[in-house]
Amino acid sequence: MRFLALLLALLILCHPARAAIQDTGDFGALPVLHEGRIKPMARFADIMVDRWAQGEQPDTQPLMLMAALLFNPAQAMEIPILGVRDKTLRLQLNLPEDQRLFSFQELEDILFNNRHKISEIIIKPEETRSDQENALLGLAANADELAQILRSFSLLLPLDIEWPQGFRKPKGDFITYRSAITLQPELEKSLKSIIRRKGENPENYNAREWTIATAAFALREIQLGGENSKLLRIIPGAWDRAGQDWFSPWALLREGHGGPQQADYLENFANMTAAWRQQDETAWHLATAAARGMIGAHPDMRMLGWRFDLERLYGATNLYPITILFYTLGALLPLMVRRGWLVGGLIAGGLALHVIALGTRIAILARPPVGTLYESLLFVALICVAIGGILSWRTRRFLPACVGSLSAALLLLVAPSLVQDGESLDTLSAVLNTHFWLTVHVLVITAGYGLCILAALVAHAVLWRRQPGLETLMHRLSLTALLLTAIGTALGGIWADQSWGRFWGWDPKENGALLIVLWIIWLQHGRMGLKLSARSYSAGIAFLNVVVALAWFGVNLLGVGLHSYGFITGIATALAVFCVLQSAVIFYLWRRKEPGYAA
Amino acid sequence: MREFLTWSYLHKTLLRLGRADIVFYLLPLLMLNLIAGTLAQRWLGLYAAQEMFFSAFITWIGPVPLPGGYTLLGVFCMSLLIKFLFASPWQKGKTGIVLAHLGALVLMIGGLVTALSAREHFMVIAQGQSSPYIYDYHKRALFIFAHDDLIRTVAFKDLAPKKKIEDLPFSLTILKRCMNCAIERRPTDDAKNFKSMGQFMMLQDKPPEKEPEANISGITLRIDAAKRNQNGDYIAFDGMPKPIAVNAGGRAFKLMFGKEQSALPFSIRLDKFTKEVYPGTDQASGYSSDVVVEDGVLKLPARISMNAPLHYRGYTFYQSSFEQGPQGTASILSVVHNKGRIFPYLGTAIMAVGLLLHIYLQPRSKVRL
Repeated sequence: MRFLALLLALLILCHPARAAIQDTGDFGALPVLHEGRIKPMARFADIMVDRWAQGEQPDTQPLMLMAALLFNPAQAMEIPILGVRDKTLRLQLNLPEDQRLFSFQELEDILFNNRHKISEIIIKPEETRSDQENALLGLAANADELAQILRSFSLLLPLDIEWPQGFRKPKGDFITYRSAITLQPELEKSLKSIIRRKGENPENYNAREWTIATAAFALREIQLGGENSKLLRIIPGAWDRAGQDWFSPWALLREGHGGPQQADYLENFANMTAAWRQQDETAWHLATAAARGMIGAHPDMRMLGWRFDLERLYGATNLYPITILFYTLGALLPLMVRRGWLVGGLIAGGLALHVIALGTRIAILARPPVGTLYESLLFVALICVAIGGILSWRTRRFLPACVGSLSAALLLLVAPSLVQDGESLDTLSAVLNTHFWLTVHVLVITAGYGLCILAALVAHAVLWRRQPGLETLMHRLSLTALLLTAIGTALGGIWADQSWGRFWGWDPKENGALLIVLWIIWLQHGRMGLKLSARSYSAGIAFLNVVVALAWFGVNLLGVGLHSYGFITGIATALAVFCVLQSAVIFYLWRRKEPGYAA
Repeated sequence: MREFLTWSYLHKTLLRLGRADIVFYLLPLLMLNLIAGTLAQRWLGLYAAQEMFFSAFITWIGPVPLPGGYTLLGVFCMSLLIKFLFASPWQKGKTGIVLAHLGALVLMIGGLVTALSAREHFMVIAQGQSSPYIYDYHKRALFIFAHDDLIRTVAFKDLAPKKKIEDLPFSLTILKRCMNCAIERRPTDDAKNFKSMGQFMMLQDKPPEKEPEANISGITLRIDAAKRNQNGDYIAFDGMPKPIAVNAGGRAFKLMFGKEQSALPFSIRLDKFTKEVYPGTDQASGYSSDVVVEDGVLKLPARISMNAPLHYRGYTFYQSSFEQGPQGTASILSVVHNKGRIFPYLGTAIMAVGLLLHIYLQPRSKVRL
């Protein structure tokens, strides 16, 4: 990695910016095969920049940044894009304390000097690594990905070298690796002959020999640097059938997948490179449109059809912030004005946007929207609003819809923190790759979680001010939550029996689900056996929030068991704070002397 | 004293066990056991934590004995049974609650039948090969072959130090055993009496791994009265590539140590193993094995894939894993024989109907807020 800066600075021509290209044209609509799915370049740029920046916001828009990284890497290396959020790591690496985003150029020497330390961390068992070690490892991985992107088109970029006299000149206005590749063996042969005659010290070479050595060295270094650049899988390996692998430009060259169509398609990127470097907007638009037209006819793209465009739209228009706003306003407005049509309109508007966003995910991924923790939050939020809305409609009262909206807004606010590595539209692990069980088990149990949250929030209201109607609602919600969580848990057991050969294995995820069921059963038996007062019963239902949080997220922090696809890190503190705060609130409400309750 | 033995007293005590408040006192203990056992998995591993908390009558927390999962679930099951038989409200309006309890009871009985009868094994079949052999996940044994025929299997639990394995034409004594062995270099001055790999390696006891499958078990043994240059001390451990060869009584013996194995009453042939990946990644989107069940003259082709097992003669075969060896790809199938398999399906269906009815049959009073 270390020689990349030197290499790019020395070899690749930097062009001063002229009139800047204002928009990215069709560039964002070009397909990239990334993590098992073909995605629009705009989404790929969003994911990668989010991953590299670690939640920080670079000054440049992700797609423009991606174009700069690909087509003018020597300049783009200076753009701050790699996030280092861990303060201790910044101190360890002698980085400025008040800065969080760093350029590739700033970090590459530091990472090179720490390469032995990084190697030691890699071989350490994961559970013994410290937060700083994990952060350093993450930074190194991000820098490696960024380096791969910077080199993606290095075979098309003009080289700042003088071509030796007496050799056939590469075609084109500029010398690029691609134009010189057929002449490289001849150049290497001459260099070997020079070394044989005069040794390896360039001081002994005459001017022509020096030029030959420099050109051969440049081509070799560009080749060595490019060979590991595999990330940008932008060119289909086969042009006549779908479902085949896609390749990065370098992999295409190295592995010999290139055909006439691939060469033509690559030519479009050469034109894009030239246009970007000249900041020629017309040529840029022509090149991106030509590439889009050509790839649009590929069988993979025909198979994806409208789903590809839908993903682009999904990435460009994030509906969740406005959904959260609608839900929050809908939940809080009744505290100020009691206009039913306005509250209903806001919540219904939020719900409509929520349904559209979730429906879009289902359409893009062609599967139920509950394959990851993040997705389950989106779905549970929808369940909360939908059930709250139905109850409000039936009781002609604000409260259930407001409680549902508030819980949905909170869940949607938390959801983005659970997105791993910048990508929220994940492919599924093999064991989850079954639509039937995802629909039947996960939808049922997550709907149960939604009802638990609703019941818990209504219980808070009951503890605040006791009303018989509210108590009945809370009780019925808890019974329905029991129905769904119990059936969902049992269905999960049946799925486990189908895929692992046992109904129950005391796996943390299974135990978490069982804990919710047992907790509700305990409360119901306490209520029936008159062992729990009405206030304690309500407090127990309110505590469902904590039980659900532990069963839903907490068990994934343990990192053991067969549900390894759900493992997560980095939320332990937030979860602990939530549980402590929630317990404190419930304890306060339970202890306060509310007149409706008997002592 | 006599009054304690009267039917009415027993009846009263039984009914007491079926009351809701018994469940109310029992469940916190069960939940504590569940939480502690789940957290313990982080440090002990799933298997050890399960043995300590869930598959135990008593759970020892240091010197303190606490009721284990078996005890708690046993009392819970008893309470459910008594409630169902003697204290169920047999009224139309309570049908849901009766059915929900019955469903839970069926699930518990299923759990008991499974705990008592289920046997879990695995089999490894190379592509193009056929095999009737299944292996235990945890148990190890010493296998003695005569002219390639298995003549004796000695379970690990019977391989205690100083134990002599009788009825062989040579003398075989166990010197040492370790459930999880560290394989270390043997000092040259200690190698005098050792043969084969034992001359260079020695087995030292080390703490068991979190997951028992990861343990490397082994034994050190002594052979006498065999062919002269074969008398001496040997080591044998999981995955040791070279068996111990012994010639005695005019016969050639082979000694191997490894996972306990048994044979199915039929064979499975693997025609093809397929790993499907998401394009451009190593991430699997699915695994499948095209197999043929060979049962006498019957040849039954089938495909086993993730979430789609094969059921045959009471055995269920699941796609578990695969390995890439020098002889090509081999599929690893989990093999389960469980007489209680139907109970969860039945219990879930009954419980679902019960809970639905219970909610439906709730008094229809309007919720007024």
